[in-house]
Amino acid sequence: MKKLFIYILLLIMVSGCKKKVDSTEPVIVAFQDTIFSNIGGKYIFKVSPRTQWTTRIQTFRQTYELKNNILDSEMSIRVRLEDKFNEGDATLILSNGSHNYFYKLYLKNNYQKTNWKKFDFRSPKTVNTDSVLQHQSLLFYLDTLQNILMSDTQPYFPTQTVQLSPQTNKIQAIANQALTTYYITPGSPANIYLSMTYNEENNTHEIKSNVIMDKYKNVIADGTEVIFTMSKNGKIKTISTQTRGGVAMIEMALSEYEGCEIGASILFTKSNLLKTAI
Amino acid sequence: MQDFLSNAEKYNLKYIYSNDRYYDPLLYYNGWTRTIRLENGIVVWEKGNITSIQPIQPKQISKPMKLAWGIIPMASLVFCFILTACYMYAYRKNIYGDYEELYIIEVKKFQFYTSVILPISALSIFSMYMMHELLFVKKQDSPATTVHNYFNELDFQNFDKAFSYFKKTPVFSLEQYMLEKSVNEGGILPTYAKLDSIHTSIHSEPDNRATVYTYTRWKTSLGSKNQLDTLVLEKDGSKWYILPPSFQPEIPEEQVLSNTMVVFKKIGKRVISSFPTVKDDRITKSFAAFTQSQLWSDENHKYLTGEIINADDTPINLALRAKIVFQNGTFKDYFPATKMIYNLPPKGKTFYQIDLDSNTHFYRNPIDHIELYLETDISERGYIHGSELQINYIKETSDSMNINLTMENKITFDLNIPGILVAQKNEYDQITGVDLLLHDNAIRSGYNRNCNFQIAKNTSQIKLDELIPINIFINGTPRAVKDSIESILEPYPQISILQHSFIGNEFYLQ
Repeated sequence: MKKLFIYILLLIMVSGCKKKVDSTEPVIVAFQDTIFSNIGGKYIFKVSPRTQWTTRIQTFRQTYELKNNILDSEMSIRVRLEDKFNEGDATLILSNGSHNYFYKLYLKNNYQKTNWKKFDFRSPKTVNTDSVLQHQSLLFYLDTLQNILMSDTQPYFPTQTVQLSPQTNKIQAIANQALTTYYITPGSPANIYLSMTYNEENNTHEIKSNVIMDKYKNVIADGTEVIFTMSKNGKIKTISTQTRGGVAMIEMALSEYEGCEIGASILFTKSNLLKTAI
Repeated sequence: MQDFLSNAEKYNLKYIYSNDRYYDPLLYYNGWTRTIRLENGIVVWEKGNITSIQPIQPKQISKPMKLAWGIIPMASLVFCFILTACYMYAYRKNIYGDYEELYIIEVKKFQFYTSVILPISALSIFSMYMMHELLFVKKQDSPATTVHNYFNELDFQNFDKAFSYFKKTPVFSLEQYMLEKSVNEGGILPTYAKLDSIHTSIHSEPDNRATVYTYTRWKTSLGSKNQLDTLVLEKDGSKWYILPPSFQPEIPEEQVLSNTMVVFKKIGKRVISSFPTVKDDRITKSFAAFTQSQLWSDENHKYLTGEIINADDTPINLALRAKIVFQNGTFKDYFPATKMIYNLPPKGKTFYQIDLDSNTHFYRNPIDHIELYLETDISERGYIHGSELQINYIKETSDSMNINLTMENKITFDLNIPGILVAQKNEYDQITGVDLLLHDNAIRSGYNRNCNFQIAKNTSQIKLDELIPINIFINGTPRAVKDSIESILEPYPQISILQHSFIGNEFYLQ
């Protein structure tokens, strides 16, 4: 039993044995920080003799496997990626078994950049004339490979405050792109004026508002809730209606509400009071 | 169920598939909106402003632990079985030896009969009793039995069977009964309730007649409701029949109703993309504002009240949450449940009341501050809550308020559950309490109904708690309370009423 235990222990120890790996760090002989498209780059490292290396470049988008050539302890790597690629940081990775060595690089396109696409994000998307008539605009340009246009004088994502006109409008931040549309909508009504007319056909009275507008003369939105209120001898009647084209209207048989006071309100704004004739 | 439906935000509940209209009032008055009726009749209800569930990352366990959890419990169980079997084998061998002997237990006749015959005979008697109850009981042998059975059929909406309890007359046919029912009834009790209990009080009269006062309690998804019906019965032969009640048809003045309404359709700006994002609908968040918000304490509990307006040009739906942050750093969320209108037309408003816990609870866990979170979203249906409302009078006693209203339906859809949201106010125009009051019967197009509601008056014992700060966030942004709105022509300054009726029609309005 004791022998068996020793044999098992030895077997476990044998399975734990590994080949010794040379973990000596490669020494840089030739190195360039930036890889240009079309041109590429060449890297030379001094490594331990009789060692096997795999080399690759990892960008934020994908990994490129690279071929290397080791001659007299000198490993040379020829990098030639694509004609056009996504610019930005990349990492050259040298692997020797379980040991990895990382070297920071930068990828840069070397072609004449044209066809920049404009991106103009606006916030907030909808502005009410009651609120601050200002937008924050985030403006930048991308090429067909989603590379951002960089300038020495401007940050990557320049922002600016845009002053807006108080007139109701739909404006496309980027022409012909409906997704970039922002909206200036009417605010609270400035005033409500009620008038009463007799409708001969129906023998009723129409209580009608003026064309209700906000303080910048924008007609208030269709469907705005208007509460008409009628009061007489302690009884109070409310009728909820909606505006169309800025006008709210109710129709009533006068006999029903002779001598009552009639008013209308939209949230903060109240109308004049009408008194129906007896 | 009520907790799930009322506090949907707490459970990230976005959609409900309902095949039982019993729950319709509960869903509607808790802010759910119908979106579509599926081909099999199931209605899909949706709640706006519900955030998607954050994916829960499974706990990372090391490989030895995974193996241990996989092997050890099952191995222990198997080991226990083996040990038990070994033990039982050893025990049996020890007691009985290697040879088994067959023991025959002698059973006495008395034991046999009591253990076998008795259960069979009891079951048979019970089955016969049930069959007798089902087949031979006279359902109309007394006024009380007749009324009980009549309401039982009504509860299951077996109207043809319910009709059989009425005395047959040439002018009261089944068709006439159904017609009168369809014109007169509808509403939370006839349509959305289930009978809970029934009590009758019988007053015998000469000529084989009896007046039965029937007190029924109905279960609705919004709580119990009581009703008193007076039925006159007459004995014909050995059976009692209900005399058809006199039918007074209400005829509206107009022949045809017409309505002009602005309806909305949310088109959205959907980005067609396989990119994994939940923010594809690039549509604006609606403008809303609080016009007042305060914390009250009565004798028993604390509650929040206030008023919210839709400052936008489109209908909006709302989701309101009160986060109570305690002094020990913990917090708890509360929701307004039915004491709020969740869907507002452009420039519409709602009152709200959020009931918190008892004063004792907050005495043990003092509140540090309160955060009110309001989320808004553009709505396209569910913002029509009624038509015309007339307050006839409000009578106050020391502890209650009696509100008499006339609700008129001038729109082209029935108001299936006519209702109002009432806010009581103090002399500073602050809302001291909010109540949802529902009328039992529907109001059809062109008709009106006189409603009498009674509410408990908020006494002077309630106290405004101004020391605890209330921070307001609308769509995640801190906001201040806007100025309050004074109503136009307000003969009853102590009360404000908003219409809050449920329209059962599934047209795009609701």
